[in-house]
Amino acid sequence: MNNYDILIVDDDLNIIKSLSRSLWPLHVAIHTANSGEDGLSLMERQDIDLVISDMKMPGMGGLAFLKKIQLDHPHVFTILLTAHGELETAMEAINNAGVYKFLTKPWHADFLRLTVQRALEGRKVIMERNLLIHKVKRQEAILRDLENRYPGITKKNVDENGSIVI
Amino acid sequence: MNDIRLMVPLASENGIKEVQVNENRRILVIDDDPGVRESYRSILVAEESMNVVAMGAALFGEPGAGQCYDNAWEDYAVTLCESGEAGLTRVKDACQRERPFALAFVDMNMPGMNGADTAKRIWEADPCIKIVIVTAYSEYTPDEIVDTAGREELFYLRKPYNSSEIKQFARALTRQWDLEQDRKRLAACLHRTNQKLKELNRSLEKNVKEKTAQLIQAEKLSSLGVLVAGVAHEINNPLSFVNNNLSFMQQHLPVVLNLIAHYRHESEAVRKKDLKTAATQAAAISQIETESRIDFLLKGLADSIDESLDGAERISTIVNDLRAFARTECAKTGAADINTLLDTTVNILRNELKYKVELIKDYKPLPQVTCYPQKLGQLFMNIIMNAIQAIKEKGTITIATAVVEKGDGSNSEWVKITICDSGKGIPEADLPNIFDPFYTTKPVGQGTGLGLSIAYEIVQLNGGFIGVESIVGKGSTVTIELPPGPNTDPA
Repeated sequence: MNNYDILIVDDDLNIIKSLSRSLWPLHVAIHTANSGEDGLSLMERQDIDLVISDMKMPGMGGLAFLKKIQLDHPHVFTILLTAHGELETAMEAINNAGVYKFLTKPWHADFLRLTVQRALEGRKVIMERNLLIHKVKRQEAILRDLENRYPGITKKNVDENGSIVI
Repeated sequence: MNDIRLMVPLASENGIKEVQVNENRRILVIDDDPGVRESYRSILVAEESMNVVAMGAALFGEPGAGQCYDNAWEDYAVTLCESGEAGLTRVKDACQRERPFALAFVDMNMPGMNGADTAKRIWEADPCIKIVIVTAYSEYTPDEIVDTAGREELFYLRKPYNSSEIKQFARALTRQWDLEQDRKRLAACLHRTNQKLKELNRSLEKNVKEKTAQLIQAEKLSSLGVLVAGVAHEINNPLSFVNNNLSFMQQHLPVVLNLIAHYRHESEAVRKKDLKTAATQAAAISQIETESRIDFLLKGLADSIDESLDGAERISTIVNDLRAFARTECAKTGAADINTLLDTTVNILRNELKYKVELIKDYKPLPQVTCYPQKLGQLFMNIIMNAIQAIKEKGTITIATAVVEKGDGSNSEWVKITICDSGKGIPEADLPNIFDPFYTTKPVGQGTGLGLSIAYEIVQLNGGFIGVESIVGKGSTVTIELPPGPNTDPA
């Protein structure tokens, strides 16, 4: 759980402090912001792996903030942590803002930690996969190029005896 | 033939209408001379000439119908008496049988009681009867007669008289008697109707009072609903971190306790001069402290406690504000500082305001106002809530208070409160209706349409005035003026 950067965004300072303490055992680096705008400008300067955000904030508000993250930083996972447990909010958050998990206040400390861990692991897996896909594609491109230049080079001819024919 | 029910033709716009009339045709004659008495009878119970009958038939449009009412027009039930005493007896008797006389012809000059005395006594028994004194004015002047009789509405017939004079009196005075009775009946009827109306009015007023109270209550509940929704955030947030902080403390306390245990062991080892154990412990302590980031942890624990106390206080405040608002006890007047009342309301609505409204307060020092403070609280809540809802995304609300001199000679200092928002405004066409109950421009299901009408009632209750100005697209301003002193309506 090392070297992960987590951003917590809430206009209530006490919530941020409390959340930070909760995530302490995970040994992650915690960054904080009081509003959506502050959060976004922080994310320009600093690579963030996971964002935990409240809904009701001054300025752009939680949903708008999360939607913007989806656009600008699509690889960042987001968790919505809010007092507003309405269904419409949840739907909007999950369907339209790409939120990974939707949690209500008051939250359960253990469950929150677990969710964060899962999120980070899940993200790690996805990123590795993306990296692998990227690698594979690149290698395919190299092979295709070789094939173009030297047709047959990428194919293996084997005769009846199992010997390779060049 | 005492009471004849006649159909009397009455002219009206639609032609001739036939109206039923009760006629009292009872006449009393008091004269000591039998000859005179007989002549009365022949005049008053006269045979009709055929002419009159024919005329009557033609009028009624019924051939021969006139026959049934033979002598109808001038036919009376005549009672003859020879003395005042006898006459008085008959009058009393007639009253008792509920068949009073309409008219009495009384001779002035009689042995025993004279006419004037008789008239007086008769009126004592039956004040409604019409009396004609038949006199030659030889011995008594009219004034003397009136004095004796006691009333001025005496009629005089001068001797010698002729029969048509008798008939005229009979016709006119019986008719007058009838009309007076009618009028009495109608007056009584009117009085009864008036009483009924008064009662109806009273019960309507009571009804209106009840309904108004209900409406105010309903609106209060509805505002409370809005409040409670907003309060979710206000209470949930502090609750969340208080809870979390306690959880944190619970989780890490064992580490601290463990550390303390180690310190104890070390301290004991040192006391026992057991340097080996002391060293081991010291090493262990050092390791634990590093692993657990003890300084950080201790700070975390201390902070948790401080922050949690803050949080608990926040919850407490919000609950108090809610309680103050939701109290249902109604009519309690008290002195209040309007500025404080406004601040309390703003505080309750803090959550609604925080994210989209810039609040500007311009309070001037105000004298205390005797009012219904809870109701004023609800009033301000309604108005400010409206202002917030008028603002779509971001805007400004300005609340200003000031003292105004009412220049009506009373030199009283009123308090003026202005709540101004930069919201969407109210169209001119809607402005006259905004205080009407259930008038709302919000979509169905949002808002009761009662907020401003309740506000209006509350302002009235406190003896003040409320007015609204608005420009579509720019905003609205609500102005409330309240008197300093006692109210008009004890609710």
